[in-house]
Amino acid sequence: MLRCVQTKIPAFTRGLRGALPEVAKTLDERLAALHETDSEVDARVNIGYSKSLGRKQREALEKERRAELKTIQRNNKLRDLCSTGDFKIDLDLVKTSWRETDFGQHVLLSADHYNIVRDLFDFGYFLPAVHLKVDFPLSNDECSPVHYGNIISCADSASVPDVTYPADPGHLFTLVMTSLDSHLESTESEYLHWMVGNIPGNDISKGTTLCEYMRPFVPKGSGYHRFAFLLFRQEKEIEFSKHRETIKGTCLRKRTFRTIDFYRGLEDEITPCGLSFFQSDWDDCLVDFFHNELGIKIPVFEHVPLEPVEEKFKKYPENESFNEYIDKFRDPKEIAEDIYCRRLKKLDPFKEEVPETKYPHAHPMSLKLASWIRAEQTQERERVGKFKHMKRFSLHPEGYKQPYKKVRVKVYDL
Amino acid sequence: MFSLRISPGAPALFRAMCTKAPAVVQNDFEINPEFVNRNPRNLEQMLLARKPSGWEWDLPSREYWYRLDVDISKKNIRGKVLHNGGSAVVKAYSGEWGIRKQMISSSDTTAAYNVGRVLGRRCLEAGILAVHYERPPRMENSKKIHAFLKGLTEEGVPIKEPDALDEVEDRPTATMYR
Repeated sequence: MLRCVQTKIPAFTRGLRGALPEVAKTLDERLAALHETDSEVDARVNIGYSKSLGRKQREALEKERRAELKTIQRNNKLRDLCSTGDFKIDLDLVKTSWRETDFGQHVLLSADHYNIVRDLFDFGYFLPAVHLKVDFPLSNDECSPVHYGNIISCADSASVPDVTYPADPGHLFTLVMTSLDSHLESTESEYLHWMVGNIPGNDISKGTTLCEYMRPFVPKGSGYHRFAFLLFRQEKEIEFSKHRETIKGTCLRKRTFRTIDFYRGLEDEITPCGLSFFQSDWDDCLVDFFHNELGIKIPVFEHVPLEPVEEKFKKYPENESFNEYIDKFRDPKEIAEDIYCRRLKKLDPFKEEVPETKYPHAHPMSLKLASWIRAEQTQERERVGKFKHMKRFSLHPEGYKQPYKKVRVKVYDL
Repeated sequence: MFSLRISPGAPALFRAMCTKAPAVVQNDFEINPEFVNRNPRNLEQMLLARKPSGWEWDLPSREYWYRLDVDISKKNIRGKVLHNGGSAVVKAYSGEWGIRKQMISSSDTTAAYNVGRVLGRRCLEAGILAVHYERPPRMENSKKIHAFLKGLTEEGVPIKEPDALDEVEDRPTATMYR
């Protein structure tokens, strides 16, 4: 018996799949084109301290560590613990060691990822030399800490945070808290939330408050906003009253701020040395703050996607079933309305709704009907596709089980 | 970009409940109707951004926002979380002194488990709540990888990213760009 082997050329339908692999760009190429940078134009300037150990110091440290490692490896108790496989090391110890060594690079990596350094200092950058520890107090022994990008609820950041950092008491510092995204008038500006200048060492209460603390706020629907704590080290005492007036209250116009302008004004006297930042989202507790303290109506924002590309309606489409193709171009709300009307016709307000049949395909369909009608009827019987609105209304989602109730049965002795 | 929709103030009942009269109205400016949130990660976190996708036949898949990268060498174990753009965001390394001094070996299963824990903690501190990971076929039975992932999930970072919100259902003829 002969077989007819049909040789068919594979279909490279370009409309569906894009250009051919040799021609089209890969994702890497496309992303590289998107984030293209010019090494001369986008070169950044280090405006902070360059903290690195000298060669001799590094060698001494390594020698010390090598000696310590030897004693660790002789520790038989630890060896037994490690051999179990799920021995947990102390994460707090890791953190304390991390604070002394490479926290700066990690914070800078994350800050670059969130584009914080670029928005604050334009083409300047700095490697944090001082670990800035910020905690929002919640209750007696609880707090929500600020790290480098974590999300903190607006409800938790209502009160003045505790800020600590390692410092000599002889040095002077300036602490700034700004919000990078929540300016309601222009996108380039920031709001100043807190500013303390001339702090001797790390005792913030002894510094002069240049701007009173205002809690972070986020307008509804605009997503996650970034809030940054910045620490500057001063070369000498600065008379801030010359440069700016002290801000009290919640006048947002007065609190408008740009870190880059502030830094440029005092460039020779201050150097950034600490950074930590967090993100915040809308919380219902802000209603009171907007109405009573800011005295404005709550702005509610909606995300506007870029203009979508609409498919054009063809009079004679290829390889499309006509009913589905027409439905594709109808308003989905209109289709839903049609289906709801069909369901409402079946209902009687004075009777309970008939439950769904257990075997929807029990009755055979007439073979005289056109195939597209039969296809629609199967959809309707199964309540799928556009017929999902025909489903019996229920308060509970699908697959919901009534919680088990214990029924007490009284037993009477007769 | 976000468009403005000013809410009609608090409901009447709520206003009646507020005994305090609103403080001195100093904030009578016009709010920018085309508000731009400059946070580059905002749309991803709101699940509104599209996940960048490579070729359909890419292996491992390129459809993620954050990817986990585990490098197990003879001496050390390194964990990294990379963004789709290719830049590393969070790192952990078993040779870091804080980790190394608490363990006997820096490359055994215990080390992998603990580097996973440290990486998980750092992810949460950097605001990364989930990562994507596809185990390469040659690592199918690796105990160290298993321990690493166990440490990461125990700290609260699941190894499955949430899907982006799908708006296509409402507009079948439109191709959305976000």
